[in-house]
Parts: sequence; C-alpha cells; structure tokens
Amino acid sequence: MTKKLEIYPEELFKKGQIDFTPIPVCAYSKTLAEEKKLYSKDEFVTIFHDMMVLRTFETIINEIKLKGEYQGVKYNHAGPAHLSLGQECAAVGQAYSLDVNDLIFGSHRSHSEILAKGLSAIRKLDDAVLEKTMREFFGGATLKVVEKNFSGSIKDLARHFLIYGAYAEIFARVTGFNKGWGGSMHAFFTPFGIYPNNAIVGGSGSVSPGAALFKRVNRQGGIVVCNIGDASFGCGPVWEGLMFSAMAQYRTLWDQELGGGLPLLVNCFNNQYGMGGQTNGETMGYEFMARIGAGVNPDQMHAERVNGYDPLAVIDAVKRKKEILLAGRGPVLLDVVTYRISGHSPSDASSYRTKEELDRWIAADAIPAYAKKLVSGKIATQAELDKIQSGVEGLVFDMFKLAIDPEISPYEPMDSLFIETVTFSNQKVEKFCDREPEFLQKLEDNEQYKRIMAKVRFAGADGKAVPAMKQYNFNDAVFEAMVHRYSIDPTMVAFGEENRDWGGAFACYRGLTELLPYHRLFNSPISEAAIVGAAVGYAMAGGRAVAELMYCDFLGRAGDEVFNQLSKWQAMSGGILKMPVVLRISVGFKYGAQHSQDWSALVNHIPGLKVVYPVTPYDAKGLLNTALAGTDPVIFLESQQLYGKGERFHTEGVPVGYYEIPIGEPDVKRVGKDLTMITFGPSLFKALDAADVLAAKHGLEAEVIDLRSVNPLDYAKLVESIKKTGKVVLVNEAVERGNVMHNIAANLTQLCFDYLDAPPVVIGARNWVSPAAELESKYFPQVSWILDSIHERIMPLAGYTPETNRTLGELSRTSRLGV
Amino acid sequence: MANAVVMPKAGNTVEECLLSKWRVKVGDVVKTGDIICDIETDKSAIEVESTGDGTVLALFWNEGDLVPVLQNIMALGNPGEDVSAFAPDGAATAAPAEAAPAAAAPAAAPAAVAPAAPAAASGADNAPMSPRARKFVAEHPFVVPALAGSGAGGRIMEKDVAAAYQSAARLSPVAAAMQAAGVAAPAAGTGVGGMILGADMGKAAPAAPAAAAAPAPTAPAAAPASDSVVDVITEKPFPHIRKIIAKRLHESLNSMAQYTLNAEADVTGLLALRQRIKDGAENLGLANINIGDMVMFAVIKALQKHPEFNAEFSDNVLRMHSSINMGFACDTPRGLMVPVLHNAQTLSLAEMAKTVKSMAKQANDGNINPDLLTGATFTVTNLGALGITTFTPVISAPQVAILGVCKTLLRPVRDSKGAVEYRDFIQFSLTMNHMVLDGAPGARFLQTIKNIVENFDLICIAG
Ligand SMILES: Cc1ncc(C[n+]2csc(CCOP(=O)(O)OP(=O)(O)O)c2C)c(N)n1
Ligand SMILES: [Mg+2]
Repeated sequence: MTKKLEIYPEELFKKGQIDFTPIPVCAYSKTLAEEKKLYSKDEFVTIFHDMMVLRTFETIINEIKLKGEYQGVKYNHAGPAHLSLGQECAAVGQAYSLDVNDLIFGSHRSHSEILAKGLSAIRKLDDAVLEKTMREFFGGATLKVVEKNFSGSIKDLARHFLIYGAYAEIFARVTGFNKGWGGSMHAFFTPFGIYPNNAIVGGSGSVSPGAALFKRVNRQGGIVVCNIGDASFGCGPVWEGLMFSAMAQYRTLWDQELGGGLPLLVNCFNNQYGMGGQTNGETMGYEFMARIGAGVNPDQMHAERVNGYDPLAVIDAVKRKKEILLAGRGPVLLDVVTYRISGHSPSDASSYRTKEELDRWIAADAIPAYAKKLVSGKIATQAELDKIQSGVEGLVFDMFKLAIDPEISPYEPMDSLFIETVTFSNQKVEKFCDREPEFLQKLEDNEQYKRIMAKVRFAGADGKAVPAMKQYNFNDAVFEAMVHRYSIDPTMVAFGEENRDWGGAFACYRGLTELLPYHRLFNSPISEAAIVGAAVGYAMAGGRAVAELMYCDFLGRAGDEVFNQLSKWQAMSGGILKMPVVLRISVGFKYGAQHSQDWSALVNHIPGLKVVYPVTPYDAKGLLNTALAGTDPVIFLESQQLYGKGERFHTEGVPVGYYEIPIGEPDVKRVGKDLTMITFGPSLFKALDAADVLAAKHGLEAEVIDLRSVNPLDYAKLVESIKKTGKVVLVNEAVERGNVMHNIAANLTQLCFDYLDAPPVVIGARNWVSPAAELESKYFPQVSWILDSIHERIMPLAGYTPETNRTLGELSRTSRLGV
Repeated sequence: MANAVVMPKAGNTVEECLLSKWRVKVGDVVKTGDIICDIETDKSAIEVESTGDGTVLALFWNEGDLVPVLQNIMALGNPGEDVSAFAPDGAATAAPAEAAPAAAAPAAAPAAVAPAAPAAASGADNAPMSPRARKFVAEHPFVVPALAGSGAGGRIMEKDVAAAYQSAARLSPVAAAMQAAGVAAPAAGTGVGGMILGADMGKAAPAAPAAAAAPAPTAPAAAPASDSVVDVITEKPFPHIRKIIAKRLHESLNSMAQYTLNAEADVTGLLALRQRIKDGAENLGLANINIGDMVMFAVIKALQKHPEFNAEFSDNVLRMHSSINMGFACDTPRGLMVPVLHNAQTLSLAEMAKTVKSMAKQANDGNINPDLLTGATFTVTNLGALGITTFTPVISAPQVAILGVCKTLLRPVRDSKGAVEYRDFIQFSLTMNHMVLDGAPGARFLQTIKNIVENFDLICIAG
C-alpha cells in the first residue's frame, strides 16, 4: 500500500539542491593491447563479418532502389527502404553483447538490427535448437528455400535463413519472416529475440516497456532493448514509456525478488537527423541526447553517450549497461552516436546536409576503420578480410536473388484470405504459463468477495426489487470476471491510473488491492500511451494484460497505441503474435465536453479490434470472461451510468460460476413485431422506455436488440428482426456523425433492403460538445427523440406531437452547417 | 419418395385459382382423397383432394394467393426429405419459409416479376413506395391503385399495399411479366375476379369502375343520443367469391342503362301439362319437369326469334349469338351462381330439364366445373318459389337482358262469353340494357314468351 510511503511537509520544504552526476560522453578508451585480452581472433573477425553482412544487405537494396539493378540483376522494389548504411557498427556492437533471450524492439530503420541480432543469436544458439526453430517456422517454408542444394553447417544454413527471410519479408513474399505482412519497417523474428520494429516513429518507446514488465513479472531472465532514433525523443509516447519504465514502485513497493527496476535499455541510434531535421541544434534542445536521462530519475537512467563508430566501444557499453539492468537498477539510456550515409529513404535528396559533411562521415566510416585496425594490429590479414568480404557479398547476393525470384519466393495469391485468419487469432487460452498464480490472500478471505457473495444477483425487471446496496451490480461482474482469470493465468496483470488503492476510478477493482501483489495490479503514471503500449508489449512477450483508460475521452492520448499497435500486430506478424489484451474504457457523463464521449466509432473503424459494450451485469461478466480467455485485443467499453446498476434481464440472476458470452452476438432484450430498435450501450434503457410508450399509446410492439458488440458482429438476429418488422431505429450515445450505428444501418440496408418499409434511422447525440450535467437531455438521445424520429422518418404516430425536430430538413440543415 | 400435389385445372378456361384455405399444415399426414385445401374461381369454390399419401413437407403458397393451375401447391413425403426441388417458380413465401425455389424448375409460368414496374406504373400520385411494399407487390402481382401511404412523408408501406391487394385487380403471371417488360396494365381485366390476363395487357379496362372517383366520405351526421340502447356491430368480412359477385353487380349497374318491363302469361294449360308429364314421368322416362323448366324452354324458343336478346354488348358493338347459352341463377350456400346451359337450343325439354337439375345440384354442392359457369348469352333468374311477384333483376355484363321469373298468381279472367274464370298467371320481369334495347322490342320479346307459354303444347309439337 502506498500508505507506507508517507509524505512530510518538513521534508518537502527542506532547503537544498538537486545534484546531477556527470554523464559520460564517448568515454571508452581501451588500447588495442587491452582489447586483445578481451577478444579472440575469431571474435574480432566475427565483428567485421557481421558488419559486412549488414553493409552488403543494405547496399543491394540501395542500388535496387536508386538504379533498379544490382550487378546486372534487375528488380523493382515498390515498398519502403529506410536504410542504415553507416549505422552497421552500432547495431553489431549492441547485438554482440546480447543473449538470445534479450529482446530487441526497433524502428523503421532496423534492417541492421535484425541481421546483427540474428547473427549473434545464431552463434549463441545450440545447433539442434537452431535447426528445430527453422524447421518449425511456418512449417519449414522459409527453410526449404535456402536448404535446397545447401551443404554446410547448421549455423551457416541459419545465416542463409536469416538473410533470405529478411529479404523475402522486405519484398513481401510468403516465405518472409511475417509472410510478407510486415515488410521492411516491421520485420522481426522472435525465436532470435527480434521483436517488432515499428514504422511509427518512437512506436517502440511505449511498447517495449511492456516486454520488460513481462520479464519482471514472470521472472524471465534477460533484458529488453528499445532501439529508436534521436528524433523520436520528441514523441510523447517515448517520454511516456520512459516514465512508465522509470516508476519508483518497482524498487520501492514491489516484491524485490522479482528483480527491481525494469530491465529496459532505451537505446538511441543517434544519427543526428530525423528525416531532414537536425536534432542537435535545430529540432531538439538537449545538445546531448543522453542528457534526457538526467531528467528521469535519480539514476539519470545511467545515461551515457557512446561512439557508435567503434564497435568495441559499443560492445563495452552494452555489456556494462546490461549488468546494471540485470541488477535491477534499470532503466538505462544509451546515446549511440552514429551517422546515416544513405538517404533517409530513396526520395531523400540530402537537401539538409552538405556534401562535405557526408564525405567527412564516409571517410570516418566504421567498417574500413575497423578493418584497418585489425590488419594494423596484426589480428587479421587484409587477404583474410577480403576473403570474408567476398564470401559475405556472394552469400547476401545469392539470398537476394532467391528472395526476388517469384517462383521460389511467391507473393501471396491475390485471392488468398490468409490475412483474415490472422487479423484475429480467435483462440481460447486458459493461461500463458503454468506457474501458480500469486495472491496475497485467499479469495474467501477477501472482504469485497464476501460482500459480493452476499448480494442479490437479480434486481427485478425494474431494477428495484432490492435496495441498490444489496444488488449484485456491474462493478461486481467486472470484479468476478477479473478474479476468475487472475486465479487461472499467472501472467495476467492489470494496470492503469488509480487502479490499485483507489480500486480503479469507478471502484470495479475495489478489494483487489488486498488480494493481489503489486506486480499483478498497479497504478501507472498518467501516461495513456504507455498504459496501452505496455499492455501491447506485455502481450507480445507472452502474457495477458488488462489495461484501463479512465475515460473514453482519453483514448486520443493512446491513439497510436490503440490504432496502430494493439490492433495491428497479430496481422502484421503474419499470425506469429497473439494479443491477449483487454482494454477497459469507461464512458463518462455529467462531466462535460471532455469526459462524456462514446468513441466506439473510432475503435470500430480500426481493423483488428474487437469492440464490446455490455450494458447489464450478466452481459458484462460473460463478455469479460470471454475477452479474458481469448487471444485478441478487446476494447471493453463500460458506461459510468451503469456502474452500480443491478441485473434486470437475466431473471435467474447473474451466475456465481463461470460462463462466457460469445463476442459478436446481439441480444434481443425485448420481443416485438412492429418495429426494431437496435442499441449499443446505455441507450438500451431509453429504447425500452420508448417501447413502453409505443405499446401503451400507439399499440405498437417494438423489438429491442442490444448489440453488445459491434465488431465482430453477427447480423443474423438483426436481419431476422427487420424481416419481421420492416422498420428499424438505431440508437446510441455517441455523436450522430460518423456514429458506428451508421455503419450498421448501412449494412442492414444492404442486407434487408427488400424488407424495409422505411430507411433505417440512426439516433445519436448532437454533433456538439457535450454540455454540463444539467443540460445533458438536450445532447444525449432521449425517449422523445426516438418517438419523434419514428413519427417523422418512419411512420406517423396517430395523435402524436413531436417534441424535437427530427425531420429530414433538420438533418440537411445541421449537416450543411457541420453541427 | 416425395411427391407433389398440383393445383387442379378446374376447367378448360381456368388459368388460375385462388387458394382460399389450407386444410392441412406442414407435418400433417394425409392420404389420397383427403381434402387438403379450398380453392375458388370467381364462380365456384372447390375442395382439392390429395393425390398422394405421406407427410405434408411443404406448402408452397399462402392463403389468398392466386395459383396458376397445374403448379405444385404442396409436397408430400417422408419427414426430413428434401422437397425444395418441388417448389414452383413464383411461389410466394409459403408456409415453410425459405423452401428454396428450385433453380432449375422449368418455368411453366414465369416467376413473379421485378417489383419496380408495378409500383412505378401505377402509384398515381407518385407516392414513394418502400422496398418492403415493392417486395409485396412483386410477390402478389396486381395493379397497384393510387394509394395514400401511411408511412412518413406518405411513403407507401407494406400494410398499405397489402390492404389494396384485397380489392384490386390482380395480374396473372403472364400479365405481370408483360408489365415488368413495360406493357401497360388496365385497371381491371377479363380473368377470374377481374384478373388481368396476358390478353388484357395494353388494352383499356373492360368497364371502368367508378370506384377511382369515389368521393371522400363526409362526416356522418351526429347520431341522436341514445343512452340506453347499445348498438352492437357484427362485422362479416366478405369471402372472396362474394367480393367478386358484388363487384360484378356493381359494375353492371354502373355501366348499363338498366330498366325493367313486367308482364304475365297464362300458365293454366302449362300446369295441366306439367301434371300429365309428372304422371307419365316414369313410363316415358321423363324427368321431373317443372314449370320453371318449361318457362326456360319457352324463353329458349323466344330467343331464337329475338336474337338481339341473345347477345353481348361492348365497345359499341352488339354481338348476337346463334347459340343460345342459357344462364340460370342458382341460390347456393356459397352465394349466387349461374350455371350455363350451352347450346340450349339443341336440347329437348326433357334433356334440358335433366341437365338443369344436375347442374343446379353441382352448383349447390360446390363441385361444378367452372367451365359451366361461363359464356352465358342470356340469363333467367327465378324467384317465384320464394313468393316474389315482381322484381328488377340485374343484367350480367356484357349480356343485354335478363329475365326474372316470378310467382304464379290466380287471376279472374272474363272469357269470350263474358263469364269470369280463375286462371293461373306466371309473372315476368325483364330487365334490359336501354343502351341496346328499347321498350317496344322488349315488349315484343315478352309477348313472344307469353305466346309460347300459353301455347306450349302446340309449340312443342311444332318442334
Ligand atoms: C509518428 C510518426 N511521425 C512521422 C513519421 C515520418 N517519419 C519517418 S522516419 C522519420 C524520422 C525519424 O527520425 P529518427 O527517430 O531520428 O529515426 P531515424 O530515421 O533517424 O533512424 C519521420 C519523421 C513517422 N513514421 N511516424
Ligand atoms: Mg535519427
């Protein structure tokens, strides 16, 4: 409990100063003699070899992009190519010190990192494991290509596999590491500890802390490396990732046996530029990128600047930083100075730098410099190095030729629906590891559990059969579903703002503080991007996470993490990754314009997300159970109007035991034959009230269907209902324009055209900012709006006088004005 | 083995029958000969017998559907058998929903056609029609009259067209296909129940009903207050056959200038003759010939002399027939029916009487061949047995006259010697279309009948 971290005025007001410790800048200064004691000849040469592989790999793509051919082989690569020519040394130096179970995350410019880490892993992996890995990867499809006519060692075969798999992925072939669905900026290969690379600048900044969290929570060895560029430190999510990974609680409040601070190395490949913006002196103010560490925590993130053109300096630095991380004193920040001698991308005209500057860096190029050092230090002869170089060049070129051959490396057929099978993994996984789940107490001893068990689980059809305090409510449903999965899956963690002692802003987690250790339930910084990003990274690394956004309105703060990370990685990985993340998002009211928005339309729009919005405790528990047992990202919307509300539909009461409700099945909450009302979220109750009026005053029997999910969505029940009634109204509380209900209405128009007696009518909130609590009835859909809409747009109700203007003229007017 | 029961061809001229009531439902077990449904033409109601044994697996049509003859109406077989192949093209959504219509069924009758045309063609004031209403029209081809839709903005909804369908002229499948192809449909046709047949397409309506111009109903005058007596209204919806009768009669009066002449004839001799026939019936093998038969026989004779009465009138042309197809009205449990004695002029009195009796019985039993209900050139209607002494029968269009036969009255008659004698006189009410026939010819026609009746034995001898 944070109550143990007490705060005293006299301490806070005490006079003093903050002392910083000096941040080393390119401090590596070992002599060749000293270095010779550290590395064998083989090791020295290996470094050269690996740098040459990277250089050749990128050179071929560069030539292809610029000239359309390489050594007489023509090829047109339509996609992106953010090359790391000039940066090979920094990548090889880093990978040299990493073990297979040290995970790297990267950026759009990560070809070199993939190859360097792969080559390093190949050297460290046991041959049998290596062979098994390759043979099992996509059923051996990638291996089969390089295995043909191959004779040599397993490690050599694995190098072929690595280079070929990377090329094939870049060129979008089915034999690529992600079946071509990742591409140049996203390629990765988890068996070698290479995790997703991100085309969103700084994308890995918020995701990789989650993988580091996974290592801590699940006591996995190794570290996580977040490779991002110098310009990405201007990105909010990167900063949020730093805040998330530098939280003090890992070392103050968590069980120290877990290992302490997050084992995260935030590694900046500081190539001095964004695309054209110069970070030092122009777009950033830090002068030295490493300075940022000083602002993060008392350890200053152990920040250091390293010469990225000296592989031995990089190896040295990474080795030292890794020790810090393994000792539980992370996170660490490394500023690796390097330079990109190629353009940012093929369209780069280098308008932002001088030829002289470029020449200077070419002259300083790390690879020839290192070769010279080996030769002059009598570690290797020029002839030996030349032989290595020509061998590497032949190998990489061969792999390139295999990867562009459409017979050997085909594209996915145009009519293939493979991507549909990996957009969602649709699996049920009880637990992601067999460890005994950790609890602080027995569930039976938990006060909240006892309170809930004493409650009445059906509140009567009007919700008033028992006093509110005694009703088993929506919060209790969330509690029970969470506790169920917590007790089965030891990897399951939940975090978000005020999640622990407060019990979540709306008290769904009340009681869990007493039940669960810190590492399974904790407060995050106010960093929505990092909250969602960490959940994504946690899932990528192999665990199950429940993240929470306090208000749907804050979804924008986690925009990229929800729209590009959480949603996309199952598909972009070609089905290799699972994304068992439930993102609980509360939809507010009463708090005005920035606390009352239902943004279901935004998440519905994004491919790869399941979107549910339960309204009743029964549905909430069943759907959350399903979401928590699955392997797909589920946006779990909860209305603040419904917290504390009892069960009104499931007359047998919400079951004490476990049950699941399939995601994607609407539920008929009231049967009728004259008109269909479809709702999503708390508008269900408005629709039911409207149905009462229609029955009492107009002799019409309305059918009311609660969607419960908008994606996936089985339209069968909706179509069946409309075939019966011919008339349909769709209602929710999101603003009308762009409302998800329009999507459903449009589909229903297609599916039921010949059965419709009137066009489907969508009723949403006004296209305004939401007003103060006292004025909400002019903003959110009311019973009268539903009746008015039926009267004006579907069928005049005898003797009815509308209260609001729901005419088509009004629709045109407000559309014209954009309001 | 699954098999199908077809809509029987209830007569040579019958193209479609109205399926008025199912007597079985899916799941029932039936045997050959069991009544499975009631069907109607405009003239008769018929019970359809099952032609096979087994469990009812599918009913392909709904009650109220007009079903082309020889189309499958029902499938029989063992439970669980797939009978989708029996589903006829154009069957409306039938009882077992979604009994997928067989794709390859050779379209004996074209399928119900695209809905757009009917709506566009006839929604007179351009009221928008909902897709659901259009679907209804497609599945129930008929001429959609100008309608006031009950939906928002006057949009015509399904319930509006469904209501209109109950009274509007329907389109035969052929006509529906033609309409979809752009041929204009008349407001009413010449088929069963005014059904528009292929032959009617592109023509004007046979006789424009005045209904279209029906004035808006005015508000009823305030009823006198009544505090003690409660008026209980019992509603009796017309069956289909009655609707057709009502419509026909109304059209008849609307389209003709009808008037009635009354006359009488001395039947004292006829009655004596009838007694003799009765006495000798057995010996001579004569049927039970009654006065009505004799009068009808007399009318047949008279018509031969007055061909302008044995005629049809339409489009300003009088079509006089050489054959006398004598219609005679029968009061049956299903309402008024008019069996037709074709080529009546060729029959002897005995033959005629015998045929009339058997046709009347069939009409009464509801199993008369619908072919025997069409094609009359003149009609006789007899209310004498019910004590009526005079009335104004309504002509069955496009005929030009109808003879009402009434009760026989006893009248004193002065003979040539001045003595008063009581004699029996039968009463006649002849309604004619004044557009065609004036009073004098009518009087002469009655005169001819009277002569024949009063000299019946001589006329019979004369042959
Ligand atoms: C969120 C986001 N903004 C902008 C871009 C376009 N973009 C791609 S790379 C890049 C420069 C990134 O610079 P840096 O982080 O230093 O990495 P480098 O390219 O130098 O390796 C930009 C602006 C992007 N991909 N993502
Ligand atoms: Mg950069």
